Order: sequence, then structure tokens, then C-alpha cells
Amino acid sequence: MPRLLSTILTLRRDPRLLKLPPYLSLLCIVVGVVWLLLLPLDDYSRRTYISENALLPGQVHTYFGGSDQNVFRAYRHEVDALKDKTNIEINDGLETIIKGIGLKVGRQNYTYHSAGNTYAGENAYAILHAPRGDATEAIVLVTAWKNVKGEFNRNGVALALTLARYFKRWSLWSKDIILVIPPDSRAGIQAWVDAYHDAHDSSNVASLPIKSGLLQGAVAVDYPHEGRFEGVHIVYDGVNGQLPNLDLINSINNIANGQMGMHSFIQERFGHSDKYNDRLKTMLRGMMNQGLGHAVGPHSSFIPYHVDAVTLQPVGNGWHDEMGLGRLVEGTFRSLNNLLEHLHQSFFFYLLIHKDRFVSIGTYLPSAMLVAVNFTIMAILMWVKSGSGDGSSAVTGTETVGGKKEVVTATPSAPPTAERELYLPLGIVIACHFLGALPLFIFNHTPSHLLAPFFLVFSIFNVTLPPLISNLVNLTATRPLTLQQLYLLKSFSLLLLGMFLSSLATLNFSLAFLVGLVSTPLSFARPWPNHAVVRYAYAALLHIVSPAAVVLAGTAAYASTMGLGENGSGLLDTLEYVLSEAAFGWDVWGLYIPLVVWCVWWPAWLVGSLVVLGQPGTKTKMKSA
Amino acid sequence: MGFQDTAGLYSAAAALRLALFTFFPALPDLLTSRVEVSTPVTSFKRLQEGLFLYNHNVSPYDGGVYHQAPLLLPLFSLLPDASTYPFFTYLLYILVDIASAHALYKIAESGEAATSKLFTSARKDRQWSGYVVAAIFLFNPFTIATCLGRPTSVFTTCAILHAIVKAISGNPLTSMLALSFAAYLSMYPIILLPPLILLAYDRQHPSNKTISLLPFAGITVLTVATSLSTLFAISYLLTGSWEFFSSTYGIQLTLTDLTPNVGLWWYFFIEMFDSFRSFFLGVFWLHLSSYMGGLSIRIRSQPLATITILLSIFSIFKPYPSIADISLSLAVVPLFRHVFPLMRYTFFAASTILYSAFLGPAFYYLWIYAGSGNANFFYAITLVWSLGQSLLVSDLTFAVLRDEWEVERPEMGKLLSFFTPTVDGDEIMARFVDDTEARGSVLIAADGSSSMTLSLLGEPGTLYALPARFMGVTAVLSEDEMKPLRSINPLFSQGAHPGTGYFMWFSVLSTAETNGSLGPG
Repeated sequence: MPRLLSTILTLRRDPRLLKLPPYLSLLCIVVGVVWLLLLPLDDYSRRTYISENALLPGQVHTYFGGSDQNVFRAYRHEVDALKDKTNIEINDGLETIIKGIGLKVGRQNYTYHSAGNTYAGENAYAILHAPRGDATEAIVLVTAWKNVKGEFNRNGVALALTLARYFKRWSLWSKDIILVIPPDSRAGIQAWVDAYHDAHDSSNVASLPIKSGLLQGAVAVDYPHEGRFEGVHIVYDGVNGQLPNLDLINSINNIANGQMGMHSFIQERFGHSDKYNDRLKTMLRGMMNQGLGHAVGPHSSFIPYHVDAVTLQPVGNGWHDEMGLGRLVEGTFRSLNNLLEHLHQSFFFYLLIHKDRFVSIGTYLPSAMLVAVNFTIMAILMWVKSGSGDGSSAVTGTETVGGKKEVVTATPSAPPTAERELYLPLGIVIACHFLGALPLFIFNHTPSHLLAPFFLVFSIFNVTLPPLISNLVNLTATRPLTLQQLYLLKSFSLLLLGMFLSSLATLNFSLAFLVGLVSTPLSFARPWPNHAVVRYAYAALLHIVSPAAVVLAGTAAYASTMGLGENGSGLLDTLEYVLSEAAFGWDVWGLYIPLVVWCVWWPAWLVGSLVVLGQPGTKTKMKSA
Repeated sequence: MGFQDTAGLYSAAAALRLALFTFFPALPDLLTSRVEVSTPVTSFKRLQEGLFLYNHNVSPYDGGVYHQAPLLLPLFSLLPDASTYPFFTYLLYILVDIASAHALYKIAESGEAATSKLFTSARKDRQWSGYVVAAIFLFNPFTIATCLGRPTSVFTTCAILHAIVKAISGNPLTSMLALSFAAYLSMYPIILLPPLILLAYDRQHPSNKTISLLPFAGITVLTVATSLSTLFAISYLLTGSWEFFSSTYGIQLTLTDLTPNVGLWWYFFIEMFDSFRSFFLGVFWLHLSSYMGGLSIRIRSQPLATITILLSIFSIFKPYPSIADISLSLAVVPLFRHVFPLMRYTFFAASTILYSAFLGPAFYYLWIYAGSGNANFFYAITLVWSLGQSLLVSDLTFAVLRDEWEVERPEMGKLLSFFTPTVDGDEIMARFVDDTEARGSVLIAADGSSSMTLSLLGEPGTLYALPARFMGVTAVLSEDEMKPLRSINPLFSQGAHPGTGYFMWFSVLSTAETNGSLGPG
């Protein structure tokens, strides 16, 4: 035992121990990525199952159909008549129809300002009071007048009106049913949900005149599609990457596949082969949507309020008609109506790889955590290195901390702890993080037509910023940054990055993973005082993974998938679209992605570039020369 | 020691707070509703509730929401309504922060942390100035968040710091008055009384230095008792009943309000069977107060260190802790800048506190808002948070004791960091890891096999295993038995067997027991 102890103690002083962490860090990244790629395999994913017994999906007979089809056609005729009217006229028309059904109607005005544009409108909604309920709980049916793509949701609105009329006849509802018809799928429904939970800014969004109880679930129908359809596309991503309870998606799948004989799809993978390739694509697309955190349908705005919601979109050409979709909604509502308490049994954190296979949080979280941990490992290493003399065994620099250290540099075997000069590195890291507020402010307050030029100017400025700051620090400080200070700079920055990413991984796994992955070069950034080529090559590599470059690359990729990237102006338009979407998300949906990009990722990248550009050895020579 | 040199600092801190109040009008209310900032016994929202009842001539404790001291009510009812004219409330909290900072400034400038009456640290030159200590307090994010969240614990903080200042400047009675006020507001500061008495006793004016400790303690305790009784009497007159006792101190003692907070009590008492509740309440309180006696006795020579450690312990183990408590404990820790080089886990403790400060709100969000986590998420993080703070406080205790130990044994525990010839080349200067140094004409290294001196010379020492085994035997022999051996050699002898190579060696030692030189004693 004493021998073992002494071995460990000798090992502790072994300089080779200091060489281990970079490899450990690299291992963490590699394992993290491989882990993610393994997830679609059968061994790491599970079949979905209904966890909440009360749901009983597909176990009731649905009666929607028959003569309701005539009602549907009549309502569609009414809706068509309103098509080109103004928002107010449409709502007047809808109010007359809904009052005719016998429901209470409420209307709500809202005005949002974002990127110089104004988004104003009026929501119409109606409450069907449950004959058997006490108005403490409610289920929501949303059909926006226009869907997220701006298409006229003709059949959806008509179907919702038909369903409202049909539901009114039944006495079995124990929860109120709320029918919401916002003029668009993005701002209107957000205003309604905010106001329903009294979380609205009353100067822009009016309060709701009538309300019901706690929302237990919401289903949005997005049905601009004409003719018969093959199956439903279930859209489930919420704002900021939050997801609805898996039981809701499972129930709809169960009803659609089992009872209606419909196909169901997720993440726009129509024709999923359930092989590795398709599963991976489904998962990655889900992660991309989660990471961007934008609203993908009118249901998205409900999810931050812990209301489980999905959007149903009929797709393809098949034999199902609007009555089938109506029965699917009816079946889902009957299941939600059965709930005794809020959906809580099943998972809130999952990655769906197929409509009935998922990966749960315990299985996928380690991959993001490993990527985040790699930063923490390097931060600790840098802290240790900064304290162990000047770490000359690892790095080529010789002139450093104190003036009288010639003796020490010759003895890396037993490094004495050096006093750390904390203040300058700490100040730089904090200043960089506060500097992030600047792009955050600019890109959320610029009118949309200026966004693209501003961003290009910023990108160019971004290239010159690290050398600028590096020189500024060297000019203002009494002497250039020493190697120790550069180590500390990197240590603090990576420590913060690791901390932010591991916190973020619990909220939005995909965002944390993606940001972590593109930030990995920061782990291995270090000063190369004597290798100008390596230094500039690494600085160039960092520029490739800089937030500005990644946003530009993402925009170009998006433009090419949308077929817009043929010429420069198409690209610029796409950039403007992406940036104004981000600003809209920040102002209306409360997206925190811009905050993560500008106040977490960008400062970490900036500090990483400063570390690479630092020249602790050569600078002193230049000064003495 | 006036406001002149710190006026800039204070106005910067006030400007920052005013800017946050002005440009982020939603921030104060957001922070007020956070469990990390507001606890049931300090919350500003609950104060408003109590104030409303008080202004409508209803007992403020009737609603079962208000658990704070009655005297706060007339103070806040003097201010214009906080919801319509929040500016005056902001101003009050900013002023309280600055008053606390000024107290800290004076504590740091007095140098008490490194040079008390009974103890002078060898590192006393490495202290931070009052300016730096006050700046660390004022610009600590926890302090700023506390100021914005407006819990009433800032008044307790201010009173405690002023009690310390007054004790140091030789005004024991004022100090006790300030402590009474702190205890009146929050109860737990009464535990600080013993170390504060010691501090005040050590720092009396030389003129009235005649009485010994016990009478002095008697007088101070009497002062505290009198001033507390007066405060209670005023409270009784204000509210018209003794109800406030059970609604303020009773809540803290019995933990009836189990709103989550950053401490360790709430979860424990949620899980507790009712039959064990009173027993564990006793245990928890006993645990919290048990540190007082031990620390006051062990670190008798540095009462300020005792107070600092106790304040850090409060912020971990008290029933309703919040970030206001850690902001106080992080405010007094920098007074001990001189022992920082002796602390071993600063990086780890700081990282733990930092990580949990970010993960805590994230997990609370998952539990309360997203509904996708549960109470265990948040509680797990409060455990980590407490772990970080415990590391900090135990490390600080170690450093303070080690500092004392080094003064007691100046030659012990030096670790050579490097040596170098002096500039004129006549002497050798050896420097130690604690930044002390020694000079001499010759450096004699006797620091063993893993000699630092050798490795500094570039040839690290190693142990060589000899191809031989030794066995030693001692025997006590009488003088007669010794004679044949002595005849070979009076002191020692050696020899080797020519065939086997076995080597034998013996030595003779005449002891006092056998040669008769042992004295009668």
C-alpha cells in the first residue's frame, strides 16, 4: 500500500501527466460524436410505448363523418367567401359562423415590432364549455388562417369549424374545447398563448376577454392541401427546442396507424425505410430543428408554457379525405379528454429516429456532455499549466514569468507553483463576454433591409477583430501577454464555455451539441510563438468555424436547398431572411439562440483567436530590439 | 479614511445599479420572484404584502405570508409606494449597499484580518486595500442581483458589517447595538455574538483597558439583551401583540414554510416523517450553532477569522439561505487575501460554485416551468452549490490555521521554490513557495532523497537500492556482561566472515541507567 501510494505521488509529479489531457479531451470529442452516430442502431434506441394508461388511444369509436361532410363543404364555401377579405372582416365572418354553432367568441388584437417590421392582427377564438366539466381544464384546436409557409389554410379552418359544430353535439367532454383561429401561424398564436397565461406585454398584446381552465393539450391542423391524402405529418418541435410529451405523439401515431389506417411521418422523412440511414437523417433533422429552436408550426408557441402540442399536416396522395383527418383529431381529443392529470408519465427529452423509435435522454445526453466536458478538461489543464512555472516542457517559449527563472526552466520535473497573474486575463474574458452584447443588440434592432449588409460588414470586421484586440492589449498593458496569461485566458474562457454548454445541454441538447462541436478547435488553440505559419493556419481554421462564418455557411446551404443560391442577390435575400427570422424569434417567440451565439459562442471564439495570435516569446524580442 | 478616495467607486456602483434598474425595468421583479434571491423570510414581495395589511390597520402577520421583522413596516411605509414610485426603494437599497461597502472598506483598512491584537501574520503585507475589497463586494454579481431583487437581508448584511467595524474601532456598545439590530431582523446573527465580543474586547481603547474579559462579556451581553428587549417592545407597540415572535423567529426555528431555496433544509424536511421533525430541527439548529464555540476557542487570536468562517457557514447551513448570504460571505473572504497562497482548492471551489450557479436556475426551470424535471434536479444542484461553498470555507479555515502555525514555528514548513546568486554575487538567495526568502553565503541542502535543491541543480536525486540486507538487534547488558565486548573495543567493532561475506557490526552505548550517572530526579 505505501508503495502504491508513493507510486501515485510520484505519478502526480510526473510531467508526462500534463501531456495526457489534450488526448483525453480529443477522446471525449471523438467518443461524443461516435456516440451520437450509434444512437440510430437498434441497441441504443427503444420502441415507443404509451406510458399514460388514461390515454387509451384508438379505443373509442369515432363518429365524425357521414352528414358532417356536407357541413364541411358548406363551411368551406363560407371560408372561401372570406378568403380575400381583411383580417377584421374575416373575424367578423368567423364570429357569425361560430356564434351560429352556439359558442362564446372572443377576439384579441396584437402588434409586434421586429427588425423594423410590424406584425399586427386580430385573433378570433371560441370556447366550448364542457357539459361535464367545471371549466378548470381545456384542450385547444388551432387552425391558423395561414400556415407557416403563408398558404391559405382553407380546409383546416373549414374542418375546425365542422369539428366545433360536431363536438358541440356531444355531452361526453370533461374538458373545455377552445378553437383558436389566428390570422397567421407565427405571431398571432404566440400573442394568444402569452395572453392566456397572462405573460403578455399589455402595451402590444391585448388581454383575452374570455378564458377557460388550464390547457392540457393542443392540436393544430395545417391543411391547405387539396384533394385526398396519404398520411399525416406530425410536427412536434417547440420554441427553443422544447418538445411535447412523447405520449401525445405516440397516441396520434397509434390512432392514425391503428385505427384510421393512415401513414404518419415525422421530420419530413416521407417514405422512411427504418434503416440506419433514414433514422440518422430523421434524428439529425430533428436536432437541427431543436438547435435552431424556431417555431415550425402554430403548436410551437404552446410548448414553452408546458402545454403539449403538435401540428398535423396531411401529406401525399392517398385515399384519405378530410373526414379521416377529422376522425384523427376527434380520436386524439377523446384521448386527451380521458386524462386525469397533465401528461407527465412519458419523456419530455427524446430524439425520435422513426415514428415509433426513440432515444431517451439518458442515452443521448452523454454525447453532448462529453463534448462540453472536453472544454472543462482543457480549462483545468491550462490552470495547472499556468501555475507550474512557465510550462516550458510543453511549449517552446523560454522568456517568461519572472526575470530570474533560468534555473527553473531547466527543471520541468518538479514544477513549483508560480503566482498567477489573474486580473488581466480575467478582465479580457469578461470584457469579451460583454462585447457580445453589441452584435446581439445590433442584429436585433436593425431594420430588416439593412440586416444583410450589416452582417457582411460585421463578418469582415470579425476577421480583423482578434489581431486588433491582441495589439490593443499589448499596447495598453505594461508588457505583452505572457505565456502564463495566455494559458489563464484560455482556461477562463473554456471554463465558461464548458459551464454554459453543460447547462444548455439540459435545456436544449442539440444546440449545446452543435455549438460544442464547432467550438472544439478552441480546445486545442494555443500560442505558437515561433511558428508563424502554424499560427496563421490555426487562426484561419478558427475563422472557418467562427460564428459569422457558420451563419454564412448555414445560409448558403439553406439557399441551395431552397434553390435560391444561384446568384449573389439570392444569397443576400436568404441572409436577410435568416437574420430577420432570428430577430423575429428573439422579439416574438423569446428565442435564446441569438443570446447563445453572441454571448457564449462568439466571446469564446474571440478569446480562442486571441490565444492563437498571442506571441509571448517574440514580442519581448521585438521590444528589446 | 474618508469618502474622498472611494467616492468614485461608490458612484460607479450606484450608477451601475441605477442603470440596471432603469434600462431593464422587468429585471427587479424577475429577480424578486426567484427562489435563489428571495426566501420566505426576506422576500420583497412578501414585504409588500405585509405592508399592505399594515397600512390598512390589519395585523401584517394575519395573511400567513409575511415573516419579517415588524420594524421594517414603518420604515417602508415612509417610502412612497414601491409599485408606483419604485425609484425611492431602489435608492434605499443602493444606499444600503454602499453603506455595507463602506463598512467593508474600513474593516479592510484597519488591517485586523492580518494583524489582530494577539496575532500578526507573516504575510500581512500582502493584503488587499479597502478599495479593492469594497470593489469586490460592490461588483460581485451576487451582490448586484441581491440589490435588484431587494430582499430585506441586505439590512442584516449592513448591520453585521457595521457591528464588525464598530468592534474594531473600539466602540463595543455601538457594535453590540448593530448586532442586536441584525439579530432582531434575522435572528441567526446572534450566533456571531461570542467572536464579536472577543473582537471588541481585543480592540478596546487603551484608556478603559482595565476590566478583564468576563465582566466585559457580561456588560456586552447585557447591552445586547437590553437593546433587543427595546426592539421587541417597540415591535409590540407597533403591532399590538406578541404574534410577531412566532411569525418571524418561529418560522425560522420550525421551518414551517417549505418554499424551495438554495439551502439544504427544505428538501430534507419535505421528506421527513412528522414524528421525527422536531428532533431533526433540533439537530440542524444545534449543528448550525455548534461551530460558534469551537471556532471562537480554536481561533481565539483572530476573532475576525472566526466571524468570516461563521458567515460562510451560515450561507450554507442556515434554514433559509439565499445568494444574499453568499454575497456577504464572499465579501469578507477577500479580507484574508494574505492567506490565499495557502489555499489549495480555490480553482475547484470557484468552478463548482460557478457551475452550480448556472445549472441551478436551469434545473429549477426544468422542474417548475418546463415540467420535465423534478425537485431532485434542483436539490442535487443545491447540494453541489453547498459543496462548493463548504470547500471554500474549509480551505479558508485550513489556510488561517496554517498561517498561525507558521508564525508559531517560523522555521517549519518552508518549501524551497528556487535559489539564485544575488546580484553582487556574494550571497545566495533562497526563495520559498510562500514568497519569503533567506540569504546566506553557503546553501547546505539536507532535504533528503527527493531533494528540491538537487533537482534545481539539474540532477534530481534518486534512491539506490543496495544489494544487501540488514538486521538490527539491541540488547541491554550489565557491566559484567559487557566486559568481553569492551575488551575488543570500547565503542564499536566490525568484521566480515571470509567465507560467506556476512558482515557484522556492533556499537556500545553507555546509558545513564547502567553507568550510575542517573540523577535522583
